[in-house]
Amino acid sequence: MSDPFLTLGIDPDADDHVVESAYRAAIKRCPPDRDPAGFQAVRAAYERVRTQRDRIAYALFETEPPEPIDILRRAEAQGRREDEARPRRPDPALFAALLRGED
Amino acid sequence: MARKRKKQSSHGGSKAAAAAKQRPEVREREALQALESGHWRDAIQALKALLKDDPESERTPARRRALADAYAGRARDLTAKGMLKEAAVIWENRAALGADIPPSLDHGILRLRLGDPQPLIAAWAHPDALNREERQRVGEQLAAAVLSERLVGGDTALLEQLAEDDPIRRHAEPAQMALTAYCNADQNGMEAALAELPFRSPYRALAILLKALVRAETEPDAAREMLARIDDASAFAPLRRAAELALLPDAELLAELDRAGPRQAELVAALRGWSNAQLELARALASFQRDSGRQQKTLQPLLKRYRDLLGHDWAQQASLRLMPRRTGLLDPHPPGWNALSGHERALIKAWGTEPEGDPWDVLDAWEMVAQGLIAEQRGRRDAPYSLEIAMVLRRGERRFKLLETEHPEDDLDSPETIAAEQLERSLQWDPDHRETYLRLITWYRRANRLKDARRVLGQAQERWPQDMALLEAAMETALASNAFKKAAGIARRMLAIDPINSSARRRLVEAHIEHAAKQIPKRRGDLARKELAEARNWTGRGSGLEPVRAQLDLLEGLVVLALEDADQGKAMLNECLTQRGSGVVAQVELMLAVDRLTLKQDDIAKRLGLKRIKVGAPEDLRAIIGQLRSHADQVGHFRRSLLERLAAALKGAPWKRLERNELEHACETLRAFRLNAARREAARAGLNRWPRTPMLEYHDFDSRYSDGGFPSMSELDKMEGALARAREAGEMRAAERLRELLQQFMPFGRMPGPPGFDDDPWDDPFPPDPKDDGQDLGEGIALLLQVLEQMPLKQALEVTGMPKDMRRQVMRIAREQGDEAAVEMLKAMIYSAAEAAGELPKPQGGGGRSKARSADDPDGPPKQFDLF
Repeated sequence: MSDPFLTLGIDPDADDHVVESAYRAAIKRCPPDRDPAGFQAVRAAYERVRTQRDRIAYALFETEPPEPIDILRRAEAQGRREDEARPRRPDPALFAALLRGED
Repeated sequence: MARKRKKQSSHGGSKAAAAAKQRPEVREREALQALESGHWRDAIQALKALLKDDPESERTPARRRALADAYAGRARDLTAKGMLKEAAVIWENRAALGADIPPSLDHGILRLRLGDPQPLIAAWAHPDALNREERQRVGEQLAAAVLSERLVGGDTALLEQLAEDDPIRRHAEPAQMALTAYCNADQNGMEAALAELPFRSPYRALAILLKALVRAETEPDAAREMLARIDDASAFAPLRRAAELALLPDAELLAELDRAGPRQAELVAALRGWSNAQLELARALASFQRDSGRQQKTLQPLLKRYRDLLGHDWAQQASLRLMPRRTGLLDPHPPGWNALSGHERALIKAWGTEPEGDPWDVLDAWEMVAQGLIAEQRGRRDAPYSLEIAMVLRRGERRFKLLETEHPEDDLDSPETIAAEQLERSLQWDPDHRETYLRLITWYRRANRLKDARRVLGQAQERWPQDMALLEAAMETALASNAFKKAAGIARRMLAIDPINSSARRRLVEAHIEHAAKQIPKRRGDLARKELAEARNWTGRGSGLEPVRAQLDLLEGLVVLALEDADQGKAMLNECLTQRGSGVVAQVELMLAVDRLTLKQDDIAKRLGLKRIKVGAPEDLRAIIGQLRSHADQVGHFRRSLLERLAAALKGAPWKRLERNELEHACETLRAFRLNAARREAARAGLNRWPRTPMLEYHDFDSRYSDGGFPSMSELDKMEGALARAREAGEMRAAERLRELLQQFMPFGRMPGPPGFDDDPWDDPFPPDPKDDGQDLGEGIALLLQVLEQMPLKQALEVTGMPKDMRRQVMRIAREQGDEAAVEMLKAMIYSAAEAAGELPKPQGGGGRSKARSADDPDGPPKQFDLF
């Protein structure tokens, strides 16, 4: 099971309000009719960390080791936070290289 | 290597020589088959040889064209592998085949990639020689090359070879501006530049790509659809593929990233906003994921190397979960891992203890975590810290559900007492956890620690005075203290809050009936009737309590008959029985009422002139099973005189007239009453009609040995067969019960079976020589003793397959008196059991099962070995 905080895109020290908001935003991204698997993952993540007690229980008693995807998502989340304003645009030289057939 | 080549060449030569002996038609057919199958090298070799060996054939032009196709196939393969120069050589070979072989666009495209645009420029200059698709393809290739040149340094050599009004040349400027504007996140600039590109521009795919990339930031699905419009053969397809990669869901991206080239990965990183370090990490994770055999803990070096990127706290938490679980002491500086705080070490130990540890170990491990947290907290009582401590203190109880037991073990060292004490302390840190109060109240009440139950109840009710669960707990506690008035008051409060709550009424009625029964030995008929009147008052308006009201008539008649006025009582009871049809069902109801008041069955029957009954009709049998079920649910304990009468009544009952589910239900009910003979009859009747029904097999086995005795080895085999069938049929309840039953008879599993299990004197047609018994037993015992002596006690108990409850008991003794004492005790038990086994009845020559059994207990189970 993936890290519920990363699934919801929140920090482990988020409060109830943040969790709720993140959940609502996430189910808008993955509505059950269009993305049932994504919705299920979001719902499960929300159920696991909905209340403060849930979050403490997760921190203390969850022993499942992280998956590579958790680490990837964590790095992505951290990167976003540290460089929120930076546009995600490649360098023209990279386009040139790919156009030349370098892959 | 040279030798290898020589060998291959020699092999190839002999193959060619062999092929040369075949007829040209056969060789051509084989070559064309290789071509068809995409075996380019074989096709090339065969066709070249054929052209050389048979140059005058009229098939030569066709063979040359086939060879050209084989060259083209091989060249495309090499290009796809990135072997561009090798591919170019193959294309040149193809071109050298003759003027009748038309030039290939792919050849021109490859030459463009290698820096020679002339073939494509030449093709572009003769548009009539190309169809629409080819023209579009050539145009895009040249446009992409122009754009690439301009992007890296403004080189215009290629551009200048095109006519001034050529669209590739005219649109190059706005195309470059659009791309640069996109890279600079200049949305307006990009749109303005793209507006200058007409629909049929050679840069059209670029326009789609740039629009899709912008859209990907907010609408990835729409972006994916746009990207799909760029053809695979387009010169802009490599950009499309990299963009599609960036849009993949995380899990798929990791899998694909491992296969992506470095430039594609760079574009993915740029589009997802990754830094170089993130890209490095992502590629390392992709490679980890590819190698599924790798252990999870090998992620640790990655966590360590990228901890700045991941956040130190997060990386540490993830590390802790990758760490091998330990139950013993942990090094604060484990090699390869970050330093561990005291709390972290305690936590890892608790995690390591939980899966296998006994309740003492687990409670102890979490206590250590709690103490560590309390020490770290230094007086702080803010919510997260306090909640952490409270939840840790509740963890052990929660793990084993220790306080849910029906029969509390109230000694100081029992896990339940330790858990209750931890729960009490948890409330100091988190007094708002209602569930904890309820668990404690229930356990204290069951353990008859009513003072503690009332204390905790008082604390809880201060917080939640109107809470129904707490009111119910308060009523139960009052009833347990015989405080009927108080219980009635609480019930009224409950009914004021929830008028249709029948459980409070039912519970009070039951309590009054119980209290009435207590007046019987004191011969206080007045008080008993008063209690029954109270009970009747509570049934007054309650729906669903009609059967209880009817039962109260019987109970009142019995009180009058037994303690007040025999004639009046007799009249009352006869009337009740008449109302019920005076049959066996009515008499069973009377027997149950007699039992509730703890009166003597024989005495009452004699006074009423009732004879012993036999259940003969299936409808009566069904009704009686229903009565018994309801009685078992209400009462839970029964007097021997009732059971004897019921056993007699049910002997020879028409079980075979019941359906399978009715029989299973009946067996369950009879199990609650421990009416094992009747249960066995019911189970066997069912098995005759529905052989190998797992639940009925369970009842058949269990009823045979519930009152003592042990099955033979062959019977154990049959039980195992039934267990396998239950599992196969998905009847998990029957499977679980059969498993428990087997474990009860084989506490050490099959290794080494307790002495006496190995011989089945009734089933074995060649009984072993009695002299050999000692040796067989000796081997088993020796192995058992060896395990106990050589392994750590806990491990030894697990290895022997001893049931968990027994292991806990032994471990408890080990805690109190030391491991050695526990081992000695077990050894003594084993020796004693071995001695007992020596007294087993020996098989008689030619005797069957019935002969071999003890004469004074013809129906009883065979005598066997009882280790625990």
